Amino acid sequence: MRFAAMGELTASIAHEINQPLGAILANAEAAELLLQNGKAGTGQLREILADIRRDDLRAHEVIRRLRALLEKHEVRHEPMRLHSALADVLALLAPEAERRGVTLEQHFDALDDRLLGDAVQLQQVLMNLVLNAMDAMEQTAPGDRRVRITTAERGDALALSVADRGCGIDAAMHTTIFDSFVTTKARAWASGCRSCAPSSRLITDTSPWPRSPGAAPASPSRCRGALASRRPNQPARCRPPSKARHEGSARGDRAHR
Amino acid sequence: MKDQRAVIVHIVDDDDSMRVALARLLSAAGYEARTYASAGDFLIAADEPPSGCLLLDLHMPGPDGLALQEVLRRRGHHLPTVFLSGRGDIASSVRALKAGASDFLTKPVQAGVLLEAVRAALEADAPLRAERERRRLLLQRHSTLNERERVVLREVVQAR
Repeated sequence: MRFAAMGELTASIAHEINQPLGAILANAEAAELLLQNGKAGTGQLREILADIRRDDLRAHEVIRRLRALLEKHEVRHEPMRLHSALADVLALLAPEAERRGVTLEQHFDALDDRLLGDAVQLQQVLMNLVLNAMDAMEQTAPGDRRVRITTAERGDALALSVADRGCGIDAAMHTTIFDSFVTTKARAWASGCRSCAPSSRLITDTSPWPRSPGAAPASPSRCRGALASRRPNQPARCRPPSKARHEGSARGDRAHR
Repeated sequence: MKDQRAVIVHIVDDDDSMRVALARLLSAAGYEARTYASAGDFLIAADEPPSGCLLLDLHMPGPDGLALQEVLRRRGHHLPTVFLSGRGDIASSVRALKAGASDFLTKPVQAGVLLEAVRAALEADAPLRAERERRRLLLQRHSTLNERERVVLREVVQAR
């Protein structure tokens, strides 16, 4: 996990947890006040309790998603569902996107999202790609800040692409974009795509996607750069017993600056 | 519980459960709670000029709490305002307080703290509110005078 990313997200996530906690507290204290005044009706108290339970679960859900991302774990190649893994990350990123005025569009077009892979690492890659995409759009007009997350089936593979409307990647950088500390970011702390490349590699055993990063992106957005990695076919022994059609590639298209 | 003279607290918060919970709490404390899911909702639905106290969430989709505070100020509506924020960042709190907010609280907020902030905001506003009301009545009466009566009034004032 890119820990700098967590730093960026801390404020948003704290907000996401404080919201239900604040509601729980206000509800509990309202109930207390009603009981104190002798004005508590059973119906109202029951409503309050139901809301408290719902908000508690809501806070718990944020923490569950977060823990899944942050826990140390062995890399496992297991059957997983791509879309629910992605949706969890996007839910975590939503408040941060909102804070930055970025619209996250998800187009989960793959009909069969079963995959053999490591869900957590895939989530980490997505988180890094989306955060980078948002960084790349700081100069983009607020109404135009969109990140499009797409999944699609490509033959025997699943393709994941992240496209933004940011500044794009200079053609000169296409060969080095996976190296450490290669970045188009002006800020000194940026560590480059490399910060997400290792995890892409772990999941995907990266080899360059046949298409160069500068090739026209599949997405209609003005993404001019693409970060690509391809997951080679799984060895036969890793295939799930049923029908192994979904192991394919995890591929990230992204603009980066 | 809500007597006819209950003071109105306008709650503007985009989070549904927070809004409902705050309304319950303030009602239980004897206020008349009115809720709005956005700054726009408030501008459309609140009385003009709004009275009472404003409990305002800082971060909302669309115009945020600071934007609403600014619009009210431009329109000459002086509504004592308490900000509530899920992430208390210093820059926003400074802006809010400089623009006249009477308090800036971070969620989760304890009932005691919240109710005290609302009470203090209303109390600090009370003398100003009386003065505003007096001016409003005077202006209203003045507008009922005809041209001749206005001339007489001017002469009387100048002769004093």
